[in-house]
Amino acid sequence: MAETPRIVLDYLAALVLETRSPAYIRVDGLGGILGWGGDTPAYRLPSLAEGEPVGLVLSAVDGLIPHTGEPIRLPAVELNSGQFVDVHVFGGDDHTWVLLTDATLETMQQAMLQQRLNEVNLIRGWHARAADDQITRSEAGELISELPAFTEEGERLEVSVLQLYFALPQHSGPVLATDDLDPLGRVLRAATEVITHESGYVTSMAQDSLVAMFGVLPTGSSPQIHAIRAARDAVAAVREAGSIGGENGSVAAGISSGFVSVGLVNVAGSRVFVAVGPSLEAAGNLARSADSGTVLVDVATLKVAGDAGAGFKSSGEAYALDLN
Amino acid sequence: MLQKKICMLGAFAVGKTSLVSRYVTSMFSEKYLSTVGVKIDKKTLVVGDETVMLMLWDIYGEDSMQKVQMSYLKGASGYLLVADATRRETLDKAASLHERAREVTGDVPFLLVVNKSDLVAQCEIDDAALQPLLNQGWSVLRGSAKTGLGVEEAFSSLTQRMVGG
Repeated sequence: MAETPRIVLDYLAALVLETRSPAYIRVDGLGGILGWGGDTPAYRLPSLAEGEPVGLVLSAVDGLIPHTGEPIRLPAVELNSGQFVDVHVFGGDDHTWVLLTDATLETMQQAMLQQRLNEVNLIRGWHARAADDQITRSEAGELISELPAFTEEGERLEVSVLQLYFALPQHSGPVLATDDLDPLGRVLRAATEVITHESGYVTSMAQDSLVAMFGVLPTGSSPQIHAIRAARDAVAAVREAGSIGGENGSVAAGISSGFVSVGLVNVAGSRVFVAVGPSLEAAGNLARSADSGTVLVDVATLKVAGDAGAGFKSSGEAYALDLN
Repeated sequence: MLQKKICMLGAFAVGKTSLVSRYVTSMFSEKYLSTVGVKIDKKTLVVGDETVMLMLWDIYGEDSMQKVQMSYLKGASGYLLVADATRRETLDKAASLHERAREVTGDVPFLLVVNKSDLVAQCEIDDAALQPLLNQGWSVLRGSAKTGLGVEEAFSSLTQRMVGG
């Protein structure tokens, strides 16, 4: 690597001093404080005093002193003040140096992203388990409606509701070796995968339908666009997954957009995700009235769908996309 | 007073923070708030004739996007591996973290807590899944930060082994 010019190094040093509030503590071989400097007030540490064990000031370095090997970096250590600090420990001059650099801003930003990422990953896992569970429950004619949710408090959200209606083929011929013996579970898994990929949140499953919301989880585009893309892919996926003996069943989709109130209620000791709003019923009505292989959407969905709305044609008060 | 560092290790959302919170403050919240970086809590307990100050390092959970930095484990006297009873894959994650932790800490005591064991109907980690680990000499406890089941026992058992009690 080419040598970095002095002016760049000076700029970087000034940048770190300005944005990272570096502070240092110099300690002896027993962990006693010898001196300190830099922007120590920024971290609201307990009083620094010569000879005091550094562990009383910064518990993160307990057990790390004396330090003679490779420098140690402990990223994003939360202080009692609520600030986050990167702690660097390195040796030199017969002493150990503890350097603190502020990491609060980037850690808070990461925290928001990490929270959402973890929630999405948890929900994906729940979806997969719910689909598996449906295999068992479908034999007893039970429905799945209780999926764990990530929000504690009620919220009013603008969402797109997608409802799929499907019917498996009434196949009476021989079952092919390639056929899964449980097509319902296969269909639900396929639909869930597509919906999850589009950041949708499956709120309920039954033996002939599935409901999902877009806009509950963070989405890259508008919920309407994700819902339409998911509907297109879900119709194809359900057809393929529901095939028995080479015969296809039927599948239709309805999408309605608007405000819903979402939240959690306790049912028999479990938290149950609940959504209330006219779009839920409207999506169901659209899906029921749609022909097989068709996606039927309301005006509120299509008008902000952008390119995703290409191919839809007026059909009464709604718009239809024929995927046959 | 002895001072001992314990690290909490596990996949994301297995309940590491909740276990620490239950142990230190006897509190539990259903709300999931992911941990970023590390938060250090302290708790004093008596083991035999020794008073021990535990430094509990609650480290962010590992996921597919970010691995746990093992520098956090420097100086640890022991660690708690945490798995989520309702997510089978978190047991595998605990096992892989154990392997990596070993490289930093050496042969220090550790203990596996299978958290959320109150959710019996959703349990995916049965005794058969734990048997291979028990065969390897692992100490395993079923616990619940929500109900408090096994929480005190987990920390005190690990501490006893750390101080040689």
